[in-house]
Amino acid sequence: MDTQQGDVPVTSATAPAPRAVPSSIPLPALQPMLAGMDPDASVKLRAKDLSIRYGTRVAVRDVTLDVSEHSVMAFIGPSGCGKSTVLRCFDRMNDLIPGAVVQGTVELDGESMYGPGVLPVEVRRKVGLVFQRPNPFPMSIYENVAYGPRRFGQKDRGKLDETVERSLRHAALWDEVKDELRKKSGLALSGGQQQRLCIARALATDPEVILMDEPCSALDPIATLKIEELIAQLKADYTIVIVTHNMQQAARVSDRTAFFTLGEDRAGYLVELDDTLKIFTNPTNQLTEDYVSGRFG
Amino acid sequence: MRRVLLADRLATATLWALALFVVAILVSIIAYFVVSSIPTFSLAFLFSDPVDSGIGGILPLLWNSAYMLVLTMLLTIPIAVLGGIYMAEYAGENRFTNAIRFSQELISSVPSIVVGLFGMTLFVAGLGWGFTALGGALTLLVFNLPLLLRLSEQAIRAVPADERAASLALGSTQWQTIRHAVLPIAIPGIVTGIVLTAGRVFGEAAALLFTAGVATPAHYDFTFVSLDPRSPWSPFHQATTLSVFIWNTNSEANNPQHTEVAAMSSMVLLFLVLAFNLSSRWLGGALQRRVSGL
Amino acid sequence: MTAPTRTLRVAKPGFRARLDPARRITQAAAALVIAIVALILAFIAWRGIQLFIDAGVAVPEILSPTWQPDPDSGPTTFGLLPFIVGTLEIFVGAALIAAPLSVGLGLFMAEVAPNWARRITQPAMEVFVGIPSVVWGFLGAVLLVPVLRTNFHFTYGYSMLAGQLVVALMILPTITSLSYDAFLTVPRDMRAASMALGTTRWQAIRHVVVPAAASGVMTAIVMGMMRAAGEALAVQMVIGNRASIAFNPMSPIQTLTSAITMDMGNTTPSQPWNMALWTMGLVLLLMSLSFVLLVRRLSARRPAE
Ligand SMILES: Nc1ncnc2c1ncn2[C@@H]1O[C@H](COP(=O)(O)OP(=O)(O)O)[C@@H](O)[C@H]1O
Ligand SMILES: [Mg+2]
Repeated sequence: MDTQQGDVPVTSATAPAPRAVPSSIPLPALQPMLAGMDPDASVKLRAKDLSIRYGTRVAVRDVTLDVSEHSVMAFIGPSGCGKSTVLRCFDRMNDLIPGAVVQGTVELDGESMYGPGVLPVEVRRKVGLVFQRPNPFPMSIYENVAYGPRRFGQKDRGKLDETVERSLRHAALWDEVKDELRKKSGLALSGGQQQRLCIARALATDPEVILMDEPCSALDPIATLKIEELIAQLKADYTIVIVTHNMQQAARVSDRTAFFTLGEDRAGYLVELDDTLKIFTNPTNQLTEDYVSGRFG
Repeated sequence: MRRVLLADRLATATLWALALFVVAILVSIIAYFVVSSIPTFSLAFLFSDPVDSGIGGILPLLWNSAYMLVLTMLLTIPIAVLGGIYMAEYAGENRFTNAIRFSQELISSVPSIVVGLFGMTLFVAGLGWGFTALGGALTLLVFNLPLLLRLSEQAIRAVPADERAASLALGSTQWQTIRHAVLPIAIPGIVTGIVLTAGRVFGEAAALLFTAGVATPAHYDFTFVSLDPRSPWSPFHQATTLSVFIWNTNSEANNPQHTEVAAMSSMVLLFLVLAFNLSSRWLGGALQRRVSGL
Repeated sequence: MTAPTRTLRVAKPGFRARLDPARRITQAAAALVIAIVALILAFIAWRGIQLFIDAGVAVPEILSPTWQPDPDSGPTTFGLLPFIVGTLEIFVGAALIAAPLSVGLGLFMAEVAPNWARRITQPAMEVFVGIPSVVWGFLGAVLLVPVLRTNFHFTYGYSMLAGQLVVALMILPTITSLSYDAFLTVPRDMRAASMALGTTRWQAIRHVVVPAAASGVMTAIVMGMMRAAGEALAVQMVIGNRASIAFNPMSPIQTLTSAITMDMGNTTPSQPWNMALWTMGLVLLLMSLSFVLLVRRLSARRPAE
């Protein structure tokens, strides 16, 4: 039935997907195995039995996963399987969606994010979020980056200047914009620059985790490459979770990959989580195999 | 941290309080009219003639308001819809359309009393008609035309480009396309615009003081159908509307019960205007469903 | 309507397309708007300057604070200043009262209100905007004025403040819905972006949404002022109509619109008094024109791109 089984080149991910999905594929209620984890790396972010529903509709169910510090985890899976939903849980951004209900636990550095007395505002300061579409504020580049620190009470000009420069350098944007920091609006930059500005804006608030929701889907290949390089550099200082629909991208930038899909009940769930290499070359689950080899989704 | 959280709570609470306050004002206004009218209101008020002393009724004034409404809209609708079609379908960005837009903006900003002056000079004195329904309606056309033209333009522009393309692709001419593919879809929007515009006719008074007249009619003989200015059917009869009557009743307080009369008239006017606003929503929605075939 | 032949369908209207009867008829309908406005401008301008041409009043005289239009009671002075000041007081005062309420309500509807609350406020605003001005005037005269007189010890009750309050309520829905629209044009993910950085919702509103919507909100306020400046009957019914310059909110004042309303019927076109009323109309027209130009400027100035 499948000639490529067991030896799936990563590049075949974009091969045209055959229309017919064999009905014999079993839909296992497999809990993801946390196999292949590096026991030494400390866990930065942990989700346990995480389920999210919008109103009465369950969007994602029973997600359990660990993200270790200074690593990049990629979320892949067909659209609508709840990748963004899970990602938003790590930043308590689902709190802003009326009707969204989060069940289960999410821990940052071993402490519950949803516990009583935890302020969403404080969680969000520790966790940065980069959106699918670049969304700089309608203000100058400088003000965009200085926005977070200013809101947290930083008034010292020198410190602000320093933060802005450091963040822009970190986001590999400094050289391109340093001459018109205050004159040019963030909206006047190219799409790729805007996205890096958004990353710089998040870095300026000194987060520990950076979440990215398909950060390159609105960008051209060259801008995409720049962001990918940036992710590789940021890994040294931050813990990163990235949602991507581009499997080569997941393969290039991430250490570990989580594959989600939609169950028969139309709720998303985590199928398999493993080292990226393993997911793309020798996945345990048939569904993962089918997905990464482009057979469906 | 504590401070910004507090500011957030405070601001949110303030905005809620504000909203509550404004809605409370509205509710109390309506409640005031209803409550203050209860002791004196009866349906006979709607169907009898005004009197110099006592409660009387407002039949001729209701008649005139309705008459002005129909006449004004008859004049306004065809021109406004045609103009809207031009602006949405034919016009480009040029000096001519800019002039139209500027005129629309200007006229919507000119005080209605000034437009009334214009109507007075042209129709009452210039053409020598005196105070007439037609003069009043033509004066109201001055505001209503640019307004309805813009609303029609918006309704027509909202029609998806696919509809046009499909029709043109079948070999229809531009006018055929507009007539058979675009207008039917735009109708709900246009009707909503018409009803909204019409609602304003009921409320308008300043522009009518010097054009349609302020004298309170004593009695109308509805069997007398003629162009004679004494006939309530004639476009040349002096047509004091309910709004003008309210103003007049309040400023010329000869009637010891003028407050009751004005309050009840205001309530009737308010409910008429409300009915128009609500029906514009309802009608727009209903037509929309028919057009989209649901 | 004869359907034009098929060759007329060209990308750019050529000579024959311009002769398309449908095009010509609809264009004429649209052109009528320009004609009407031009006619009004011409009429008001012409009658408005008769005071200077026909009655021989010197132009600077209209800036005098004295209004004495009646030749039977001594030498006349056609100072329009009391009316101009009164008009300014009404629309500035009304805007000062209404703007915080309306912009706040616009913010509430755009940013804070849950759906159920919006389902109440939105129709409420439509009802509000539909309340006719004579109804406002009546309410002012029978409810507000007596309260000002008895509870707040105003001499007459009919006063500048009464006018400002009544007009503030009239323009409240205008400013509210326009500023609501302005807030809605700020993309939703701007707020999310701010909150994802760890700011509170109010910080996001205050530092992102409000600056981005600022020019739209300013436009909304100016539109409200415009409506306030032109309001005639509701104002006339509550301000006491005394043509003298006053700065005390408790004192009766007079506005341009109100003076026209009251005196137009009592004068004849040959009287200088009547001509002065037309000059007031001209002043109002010029005010409208300035408002329109101001709105145009404001809406041309979009946030830095
Ligand atoms: N704001 C929302 N309100 C209601 N349903 C939502 C919302 N966001 C996402 N969903 C639903 O949740 C499911 C998962 O969506 P999402 O997390 O965006 O998937 P993905 O990012 O994997 O494409 C989808 O069925 C989607 O319709
Ligand atoms: Mg998504």
